[in-house]
Amino acid sequence: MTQQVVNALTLGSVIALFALGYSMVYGILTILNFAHGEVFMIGAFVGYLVETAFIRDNQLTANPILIILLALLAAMLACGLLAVTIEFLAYRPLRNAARLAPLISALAMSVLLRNIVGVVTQFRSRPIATDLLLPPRWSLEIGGSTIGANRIVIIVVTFVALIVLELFMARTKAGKAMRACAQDREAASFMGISVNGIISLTFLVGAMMAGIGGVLTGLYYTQIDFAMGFSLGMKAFTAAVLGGIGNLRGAVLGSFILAAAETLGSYYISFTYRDVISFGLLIAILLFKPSGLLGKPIPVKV
Amino acid sequence: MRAKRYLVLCIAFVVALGLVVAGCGESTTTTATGPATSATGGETTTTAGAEAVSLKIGAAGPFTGNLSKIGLDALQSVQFAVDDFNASGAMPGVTFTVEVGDDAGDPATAATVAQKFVDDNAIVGVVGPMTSAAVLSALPILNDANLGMLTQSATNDALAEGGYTVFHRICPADAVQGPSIAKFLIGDLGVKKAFIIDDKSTYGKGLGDQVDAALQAGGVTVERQQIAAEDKDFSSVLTKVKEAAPDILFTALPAPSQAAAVAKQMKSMGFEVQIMGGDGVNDPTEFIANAGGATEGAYATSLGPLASALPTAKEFLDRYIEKYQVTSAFTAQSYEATMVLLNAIKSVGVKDGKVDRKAVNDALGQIEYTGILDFPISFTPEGNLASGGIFIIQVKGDAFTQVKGITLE
Repeated sequence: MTQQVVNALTLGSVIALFALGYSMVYGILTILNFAHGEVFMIGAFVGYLVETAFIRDNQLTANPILIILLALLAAMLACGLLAVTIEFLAYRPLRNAARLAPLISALAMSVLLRNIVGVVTQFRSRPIATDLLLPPRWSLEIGGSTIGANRIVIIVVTFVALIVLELFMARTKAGKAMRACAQDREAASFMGISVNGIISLTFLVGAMMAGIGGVLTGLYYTQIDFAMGFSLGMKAFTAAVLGGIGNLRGAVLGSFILAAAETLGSYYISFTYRDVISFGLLIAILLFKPSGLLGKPIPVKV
Repeated sequence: MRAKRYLVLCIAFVVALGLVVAGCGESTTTTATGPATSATGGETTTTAGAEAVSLKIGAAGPFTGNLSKIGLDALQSVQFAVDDFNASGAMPGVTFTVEVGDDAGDPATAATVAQKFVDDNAIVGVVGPMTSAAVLSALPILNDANLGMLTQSATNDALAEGGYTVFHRICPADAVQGPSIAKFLIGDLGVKKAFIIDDKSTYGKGLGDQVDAALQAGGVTVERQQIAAEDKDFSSVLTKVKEAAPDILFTALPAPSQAAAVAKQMKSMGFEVQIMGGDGVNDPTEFIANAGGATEGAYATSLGPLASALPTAKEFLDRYIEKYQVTSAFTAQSYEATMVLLNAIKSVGVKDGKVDRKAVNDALGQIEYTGILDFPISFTPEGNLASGGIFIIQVKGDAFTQVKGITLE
């Protein structure tokens, strides 16, 4: 039981870091940024590159914590830049186009990036040296279950990242501006907020979270491949909808609920029907709360 | 000004992507220079009586997607065999080329590939498809055209039970593999309690069912769970394994990378259970090198004798390694399968610049051929291998070593 709770927390953590980006971008632009999954995947690959740069002959050449921190920073930077560029190239020119245009351009970006990485990696997976970076002897024993060091790192890093994000959104001027833009872009621009700048910032922050998520997911899965953003993206998107898309706390809450449903549902009911259980839950919740757990009902504009 | 900024961003984007891409590419150990697609041929029916005839062998398999590793290695072997056969001058005036049909392991695509092969008159025989589900969907189409096929790796029992005359396989069926694995687990390892994971695929579930039934018949307690083929996170199912504390964890998974991840995640969860996989995990790169030691001591099966232990295969493997550095489970099998098919075509011969597909298929059914695998290959009327058992192999250091051969009486 303890083991499954930790499994749920770990899975929930990586989904949450991923889902935030979907929710933030939807909140401000009401578009689904499909390319977010690929940003996440590239974050994992940047982490892999940094980690392997510090491994010689199956030995670490630096302190593992330092390596992981460096990998996280590099992935945040790379993902942030990538996402801002994607926004500039694929979404900004279509800002005032029909609703479906940015959706198609987002899909195209996603397919393009996924296949570029696929071709370069020859569609094969890459191993992450989790047990070298976070050896099993660093595990904790709680209630008869072993909590692996990678899980501890994933959960701790995620909670730090979530708290920093919460403070950023609540306490800083930029965070306030982001919330203002999400409420009403036009009114925000009347107040002297640079809307384009704030949109770029939203992509930057969402992608940095995804970068952290990508590196942590690598440590968790112990291997990464070009399609990981797509398969985990389905879960992250589901979590964002479950919590109420556009609502950040909702995205985090949705992620942990989805992860709990998956791990506990599969464990106690059936692994074969795992996806049936979690998506069944999604449908059940949306039947009673169509706007998601923490989402506000959207009045129909006539 | 604005255009300039746009340009700068574009360049930055491309450069950033290039860096990531270059870095990721570097670390690969295998080279993918292989798959030489050839678009020649197609004019076999012209020049009656003249000597120059070009024929094609269709090579179907998962050359992209999550099974592309084994697919591409097999494709290189097929190409190798065709080149050797052409160079040997066994059929003077005839040049064979390989027509590549990528099915990505997907049944729907496999049907399209089969149709493409059937429509190309220059193709007189097919090596592959490699996965059971793909074979199942390609078979009716190939059968209608009497286009003989020979798979190097599809082990599902049902494939031989559909009454398709074009079906042949150079590997033992699961009905042989399952009981052989059970015999080894009970007889050699003394297993009392087993845990089987499969991925719901035709291959995975089929093999899982076979091993399960044979173990239970031998009095072993069996617990089973299913994962999904795209899964990367095995913590939940491993928690079940940990609680069950079995003597053996049998991974009936077609993707060696997935089986390696199971072993790695088990290690990171801090417990150890002896792991064994089927022929699917017999892949040194994915299952040993990429596992970073987590699979040390794990057992697997080889559907033919481990080629590296055979003197008859040494000459071929040396040349292959010189060109491609690493081999996979189906390197020698794919070479052998291609040679069997080419020899069947040779026994039929060219008549009026044509080769009759049905005659090739009949010849395949009657063939007796001994090649680099060093055992006589012939087929039962259903298309199963008439002899030959499976071999148990084990991870030792950075390679598989052969533990023992198992034949059922």
